[in-house]
Amino acid sequence: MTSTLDETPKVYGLLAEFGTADELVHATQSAAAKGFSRMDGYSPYPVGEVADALGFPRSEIGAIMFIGGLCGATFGFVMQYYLNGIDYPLNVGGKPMFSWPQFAPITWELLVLTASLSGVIGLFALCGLPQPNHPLFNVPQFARATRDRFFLCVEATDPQFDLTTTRDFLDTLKPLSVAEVPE
Amino acid sequence: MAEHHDDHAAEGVAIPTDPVNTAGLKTIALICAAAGLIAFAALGFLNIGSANGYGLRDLSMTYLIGWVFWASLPLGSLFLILVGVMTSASWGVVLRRCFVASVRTLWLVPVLMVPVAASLFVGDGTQSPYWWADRGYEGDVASIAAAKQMRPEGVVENQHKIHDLLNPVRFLIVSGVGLGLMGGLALYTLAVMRKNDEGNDTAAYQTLRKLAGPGVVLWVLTMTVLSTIWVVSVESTWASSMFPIVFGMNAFLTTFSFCIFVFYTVNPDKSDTLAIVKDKFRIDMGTLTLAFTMVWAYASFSQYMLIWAGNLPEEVAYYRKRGDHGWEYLAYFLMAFHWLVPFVALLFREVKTNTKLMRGMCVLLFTVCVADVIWWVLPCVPREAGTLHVPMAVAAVVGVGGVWGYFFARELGSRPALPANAEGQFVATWGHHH
Amino acid sequence: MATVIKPTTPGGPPAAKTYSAPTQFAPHPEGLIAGNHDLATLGDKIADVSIQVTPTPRAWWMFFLLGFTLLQGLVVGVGYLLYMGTGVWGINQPVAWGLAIVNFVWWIGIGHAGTLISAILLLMHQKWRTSLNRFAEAMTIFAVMCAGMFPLLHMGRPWLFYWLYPVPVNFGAWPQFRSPLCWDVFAVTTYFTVSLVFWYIGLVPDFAVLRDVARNRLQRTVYGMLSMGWRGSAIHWRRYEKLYLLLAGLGTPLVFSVHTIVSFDFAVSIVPLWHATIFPPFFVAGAIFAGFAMVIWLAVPLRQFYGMKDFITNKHMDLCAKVMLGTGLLVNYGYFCELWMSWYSHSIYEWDTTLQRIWYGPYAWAYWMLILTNGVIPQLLWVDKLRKNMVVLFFVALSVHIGMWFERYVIVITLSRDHLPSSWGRYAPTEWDYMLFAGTIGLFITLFSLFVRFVPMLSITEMRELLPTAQGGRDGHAVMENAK
Repeated sequence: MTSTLDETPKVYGLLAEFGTADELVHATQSAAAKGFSRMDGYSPYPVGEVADALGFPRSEIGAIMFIGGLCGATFGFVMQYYLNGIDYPLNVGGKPMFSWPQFAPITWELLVLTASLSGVIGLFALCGLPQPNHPLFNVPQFARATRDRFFLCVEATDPQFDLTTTRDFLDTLKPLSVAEVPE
Repeated sequence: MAEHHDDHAAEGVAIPTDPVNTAGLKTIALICAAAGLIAFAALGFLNIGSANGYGLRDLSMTYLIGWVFWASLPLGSLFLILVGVMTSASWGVVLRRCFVASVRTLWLVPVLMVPVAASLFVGDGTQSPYWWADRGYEGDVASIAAAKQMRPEGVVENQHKIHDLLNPVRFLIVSGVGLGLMGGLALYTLAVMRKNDEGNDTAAYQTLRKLAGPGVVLWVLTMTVLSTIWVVSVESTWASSMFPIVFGMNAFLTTFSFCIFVFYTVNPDKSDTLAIVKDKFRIDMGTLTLAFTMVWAYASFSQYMLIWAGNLPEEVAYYRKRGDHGWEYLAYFLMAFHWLVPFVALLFREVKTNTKLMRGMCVLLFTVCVADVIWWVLPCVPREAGTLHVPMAVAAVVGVGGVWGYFFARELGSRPALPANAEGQFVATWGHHH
Repeated sequence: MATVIKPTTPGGPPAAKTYSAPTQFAPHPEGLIAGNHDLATLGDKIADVSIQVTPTPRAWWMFFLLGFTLLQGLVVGVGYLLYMGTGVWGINQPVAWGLAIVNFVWWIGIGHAGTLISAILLLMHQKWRTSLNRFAEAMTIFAVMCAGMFPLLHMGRPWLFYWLYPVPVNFGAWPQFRSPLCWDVFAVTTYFTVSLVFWYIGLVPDFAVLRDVARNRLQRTVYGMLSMGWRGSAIHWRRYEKLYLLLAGLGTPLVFSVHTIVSFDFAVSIVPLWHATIFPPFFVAGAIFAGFAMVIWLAVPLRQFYGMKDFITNKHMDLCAKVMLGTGLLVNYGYFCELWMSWYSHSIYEWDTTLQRIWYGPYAWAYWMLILTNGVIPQLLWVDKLRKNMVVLFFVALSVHIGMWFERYVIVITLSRDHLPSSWGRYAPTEWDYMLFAGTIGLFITLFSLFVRFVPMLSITEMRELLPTAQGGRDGHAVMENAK
């Protein structure tokens, strides 16, 4: 959305509506083949092939959760040993200061906790959520993206974007409708 | 999408009807049997000189390891057949012929038990793997306690145990009854299964499904008792209600890794059989292997942590013995390779679908399962430096395995690799209606 | 709002296919969805309850009022407890834990089936879990809330609960991390947090559905906020699915670890029959057993009064009954193992305590009650016909609730018989114990009733994926296959 200020009217992109997931997959693949890069698909449930066609084959969530979990587990284990073994040595039942079998449960729980929370925070941060308003919500049909329709939006920031030619191209994909999305 | 390519490659592939070629397997088994038993005898003979009068006991104890370890294959296969039927799982169909071949060798378990049984009666029982066969527990508590350097309460407990259950006669009766029940269950299961396999008899399939639940219950109860008297009783005071679960998981992992290894070995990568076993089914088998290692680790860790934390003399001695005299390195080895390495490796579907990697994984898991059985049994008595018990145990496992493996290969070679019944067809045509 | 919509002037024929063609669809091959649904009708059926289109059944009010009435017991019970102190309960030496821990374990055990259904069955490709996971997860969260109440109140001064966490406060002492009671704090906190975010992550796209079908501004605002502005972008979905799968992957061992740690509360001690190495898997099996009984209890009214028979079919009830039977057998295996190892070990302490428990002790009746309700009655489920009879299923589930409560009761009152008769004692809960227990049941019913009415009780998104391809779905192609 880095268009120049004097460009009017401001357009977010063109939104094509499809009736089935397969058509959306096909449309996304065609648009990608045509060279469009700034676009996104919208569907009521995940359609993995659309993300593949958009050139997003693998998400970052796995790496984030792995690192988060590793940090949590390390912190948990070191914390227990430091607090009960070094900072305030506690002798309970004659157990050694370094009682690793008894430090395992909390280490595990903190691993799960930090991995999960970093995954959730990571998801929202990467997706830019919460974002209660979005240009797409200006299009009445788009309410059906959570119901039974599948949408492809070619964004105005795409280098190839042109209201007329892009629209003509979208029409060749035989959508149910094509709408201009106001910014 | 790799899966789709495989599906297309498998299109039109019929279930092979040629019997599995097991000539190579038989040769390897015979070599193992000869080499293992000769090495076992030779090492055992050498060991008698250095074992301080316990040479025969070392011999019978290491033989026990070989026998118990291989007994877990036919017994574990019986359980997995029943669970496979009960859950209609794909691995139950893919590995069925391996499981069946393995169950059909169940008669070998009592036969191979003969040396263990005989050892109970040699030299007043002092040369058997089991402390309770020792006639030295007969008599006055105080003098036994002094002679054996035990707590008097421990002697009383031991005498009670010998009185109630752990004496040669009752041990053999309970083992016989247990194996008889397993044998009956196996015969019935195999008979119904053959009817279903050959005639594609759906009534037989329903019988099999009805049988599976009660069969599993019978199996679990019987094996709890058998694993207790066969393995737990090598220790005099130790008892752990988790142990039957550790034993079971080890048995399932042994069976599973052995059968997957054999399946991927006798059916080469380019064969029709492996075209039928698509990625989805390979992943299922790999994931179940992962699950077994996880539950094994869970059960073993919980058992260790609870006994370590409780620190009761009659229990913790088990781990004291196994955390000393070099056995601790075996424990670290088990932690690393019975859990950590397979756990990480089997998370990747690239490993689970690649037959070469999976075969490597199975060899590793099979080896650690042997190591675990050695760890349960062998450290139960202290030994002089320089005794040969560890190589003897390995030789016993190889030798007994060779004998068992020969009969297993003979059974496996008598039929095709996959059943041609409705479930087999389902696996063969899976993914084509998309 | 000035819109710039220009409906397309078709260059060719308009796209032919949509999913809402008024056809009669073939019955679901596995019997997991009944009725004649496409993406829209399926979503409407579930969403209409939350946006108050479906009239609230009279039975809802009965449940809600029952729960709300019982909830008052909690208010009174907690109030009096805080005023008087924990002496109002029946606890004393030697039975110092009493109903507080019985109820704690009972509730948290019930919660575990929710995680089992949403996480473990997901990893096991069990498509049928999709119809149950949402309300089962809600059950988990509410049950953990009820469970947490008891150890908090048992502390006597619950406002000092933060002492259990390693908070750097000025008295310089730290929690004792070798204690299972400390592990419990971390386990339950983690379990509650992870269950809550897992539930919420599953709900985000469903809240977006509600936002888009909302009937008034209030609904649109509230559900819009809760949906975080979810718009179903393919990039977002990809991340979402991966997160969902990984949370399930973590949730599976988590649910094992939580009840394992609960079992450590007992098993790390050296009290005979508490110090049993079988406890961890035995407790986990018991938790799932109890949890499935509760799922059955919740599913029956949802089917009956909210007409969810299309989605929670007879097939689902049958499968739940089978899981309950299977886990029940594992629990009974635990009883067998306890007896077998106690006899085999010939430890005089173990065996004497066993005889007290099952024969000589004052609470032997409780043990046999347990065997009857957990061991004998659930065996009815072996019979196909009885498994398919909702009344029988309901009463077997009741028997399991009673049995699992007695199981923890039997364990806790083991303390009443020590090795010296001088330290023997009896334990009887007081009316305040029971009032608090009834109060948490009220809390659970109240929260669950509100959940059913305002939040999609089944996952709209996942149910849509479960629909066959012809009906617009993905044929149950689940997150397991697609997450990347």
